Amino acid sequence: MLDFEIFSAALRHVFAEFVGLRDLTSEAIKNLPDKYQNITSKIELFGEANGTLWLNISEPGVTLAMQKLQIPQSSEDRMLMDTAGELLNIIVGSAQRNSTVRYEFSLPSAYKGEGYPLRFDEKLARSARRFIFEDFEAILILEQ
Amino acid sequence: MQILIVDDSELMRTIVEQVIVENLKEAAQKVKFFHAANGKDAIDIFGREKIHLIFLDWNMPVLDGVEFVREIRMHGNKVPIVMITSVTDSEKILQAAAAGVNSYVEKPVRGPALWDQIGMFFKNAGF
Repeated sequence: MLDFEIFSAALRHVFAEFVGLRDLTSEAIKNLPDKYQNITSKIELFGEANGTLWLNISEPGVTLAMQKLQIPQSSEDRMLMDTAGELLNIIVGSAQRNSTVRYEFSLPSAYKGEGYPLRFDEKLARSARRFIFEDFEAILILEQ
Repeated sequence: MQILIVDDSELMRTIVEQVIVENLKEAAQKVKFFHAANGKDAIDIFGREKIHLIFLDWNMPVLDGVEFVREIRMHGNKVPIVMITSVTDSEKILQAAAAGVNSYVEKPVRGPALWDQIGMFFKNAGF
């Protein structure tokens, strides 16, 4: 089994050290929300254990990350989704260093839309944590 | 000097170019950047341009970073290659070195920390 807390720690590390944003608090979530923030990125994990990691984040959160990274602002969704995907890619890679379970990972994919549900495999278990930043929230979900 | 930055993430290509331009200051005018989003496009650019330094991601669609390195090293090219990647598995890093990567930089990295690891390639090139 993959250790979800390693990915949570990696998210904090990546947002703090790479983006320059620290979360104010976080909480484990037992019941996932019915509706999500409008940008989601996803990466498949495979190796000694398999799973899927999701990062759900609001558009203002991604826009703020781009500002902090000094990326020229663009109205194009492509750059927002590229940023959301790359953040998750770096989180997964950062966690790989600390994981006792060896895994590799897919390329990230990212989606944007309002009020959509995320589709999970009901046969699999999910761990989730909500991270609250000053101006936005992000939810990290591991399905395995 | 002509630099090729290969990463499927436009965000990372932008960050790498920004760090180089900010640190080289006026000397950055002597640098021409080429961008590619995968190894295949990078090979196309490499085939038609004289490239002096490559910054390369590992995980990319179509042709990944290590496959790209094997392809150009197979033809005897010794251009310096810096891999900037989120892959941190030690066995994979050894694979990259065996393929011919000269330097390996782990994400997350940007700003001064990135320059600390890549600046020597510009010093060696006379900047």
